[in-house]
Amino acid sequence: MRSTANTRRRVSVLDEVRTWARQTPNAIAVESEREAFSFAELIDRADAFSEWLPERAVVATVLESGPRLTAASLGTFACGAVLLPLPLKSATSELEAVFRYLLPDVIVAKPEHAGPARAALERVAKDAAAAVLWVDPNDPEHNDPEQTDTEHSAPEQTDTTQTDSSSANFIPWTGPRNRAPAIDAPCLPPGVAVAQLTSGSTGIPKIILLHQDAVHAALQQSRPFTKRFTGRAVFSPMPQFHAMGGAIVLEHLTAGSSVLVTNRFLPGHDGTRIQQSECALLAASPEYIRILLKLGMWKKNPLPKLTDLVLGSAATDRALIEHVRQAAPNLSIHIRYGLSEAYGALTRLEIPPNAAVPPRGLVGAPLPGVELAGVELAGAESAGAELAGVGEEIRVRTDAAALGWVAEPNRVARLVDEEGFLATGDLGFRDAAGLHIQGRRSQFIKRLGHRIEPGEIEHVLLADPAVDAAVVVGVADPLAGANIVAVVEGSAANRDLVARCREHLAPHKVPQQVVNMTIPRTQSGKPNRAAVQETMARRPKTKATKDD
Amino acid sequence: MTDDVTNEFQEQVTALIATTIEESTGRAVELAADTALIDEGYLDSLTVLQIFMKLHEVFGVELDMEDLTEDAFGTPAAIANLVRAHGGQQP
Repeated sequence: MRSTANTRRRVSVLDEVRTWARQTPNAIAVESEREAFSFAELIDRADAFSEWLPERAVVATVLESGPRLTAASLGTFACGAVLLPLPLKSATSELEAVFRYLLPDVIVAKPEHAGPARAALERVAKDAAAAVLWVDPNDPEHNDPEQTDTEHSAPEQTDTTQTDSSSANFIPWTGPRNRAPAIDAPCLPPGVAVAQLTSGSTGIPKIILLHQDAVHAALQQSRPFTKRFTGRAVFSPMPQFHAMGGAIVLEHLTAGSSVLVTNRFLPGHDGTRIQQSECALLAASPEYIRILLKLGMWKKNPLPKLTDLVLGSAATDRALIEHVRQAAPNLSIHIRYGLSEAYGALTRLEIPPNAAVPPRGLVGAPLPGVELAGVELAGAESAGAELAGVGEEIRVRTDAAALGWVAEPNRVARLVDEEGFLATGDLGFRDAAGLHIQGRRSQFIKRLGHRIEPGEIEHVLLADPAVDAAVVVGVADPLAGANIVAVVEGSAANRDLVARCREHLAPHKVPQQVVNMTIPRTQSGKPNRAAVQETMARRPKTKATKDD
Repeated sequence: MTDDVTNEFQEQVTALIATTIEESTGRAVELAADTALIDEGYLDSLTVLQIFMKLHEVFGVELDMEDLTEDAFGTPAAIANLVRAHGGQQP
């Protein structure tokens, strides 16, 4: 049965942070490479923002990771508004695609970063009412809008009762909130706290809606882990607009940790910050850690206070874990599995320093409150299940699951079935050790009647130390159905990679082509599988293999 | 630019950085010695790694991750100084 999230007394995320502000007001709450807010300062700024903000307004943030984005997020949650975190470097066309489904009422951005959002608004709805504001760090009231779009943000009604000396520069208005273009009524269900963008299968961003109860549930589910770091600092280079990056900041902030974030890839500087702040935990993507290891992370600076490394959101990569072990033998490594369609983590796996490296794909046990379906408990026969090939689609039921996604400007589609289960799109199986991820359901390559999981081939390629990244896609072929194309980054010779695949994979899984090139990335830094697929589909075969 | 870094050396380093950015991102760039590589968004993590490796291949320097700071890696001129400080030789 589902737990009682909907009936329990709701505690604002801001209130959870407020308890730490009372205990340790001067401790650093959030720090970026540019600035830091103490807990007291963070609360002050979030409160001020919250007081001004109308309930249910959609608040688009175009901000760097850091204290300011955190204050805006907490203030948004506290007054029942909806946070729409946007990537800082979004193009106008990308934002236009989002705004066609959901118009922001407020855009929080530095003036120099607000241009694409304002242009996107202009394209989508000439009459869109959106205040563009910038929270000035030097202003004691920290709420001066640097500029307001006078043409498009004119308030439809001005509620002067909300205007006082501290917020005189704001334009409170009571016009339509929470709406799509041309729809003069709220288009989101009540209680939505976060509208999270994720890459859709069609190439158009998908807006995932997370209820405030889902955020609270997820923070509670992670608390047994995060409270181990109370009073200590954690470092996260994940972009905060990203689902996991944003969740990590709130998970640790509400557990009383100082959270350090970064917006630029300057690992020498990051290492100094980790050392000076005595960070106990580093939470990052596997790709980030792989690059740091190649750059010599831990070689000269062993970072003795750093005791834990969280890798998310990905299945166990044995080669990477072994590489980390060699560089930093005393680290506890944690695998964290989650989805954009649910807030926070769904499973965690701890690999203590001296423990055996777990099998590929293991992501650990579901957190309390997370139920699994679609995967049977295989027990001692798990090895057989793994050898048998790809498992079933994993389904999860959790209070942290999303309400739905914005399928049309005025229609929210549910993501869970009638029993409350969310289809993850991931395939796997479960045994006594936990959940094992084997790949994505939608990424199968169908070749000569075989269903081939790209992740399996990618794993073999990534085990070569000269491969930095790998994406395997299927390219349509009139005879075979599809050819398998492996796209790799790194210094490995293509012929060696083919030989490796021949050694470790069944013949029908060996790629027909290996291409060495820079893999397109999403804004969050993940390999952009759809872009690789498109590039390979258009690429003349004669150019396919660098070493040919 | 330090006295030790000649214009020719500087130009070689700048060209290496520009070529690497182009190869890594597909973005053709024209760099000056004082182009703010980090602030202007030229360097993502993979490009930084590739520049690191090419500096080793071409100039024979062993840089440390600790060198990856804004002061030492923020502009082509700073990188040329870094390479020279690590004993990098013109190819």
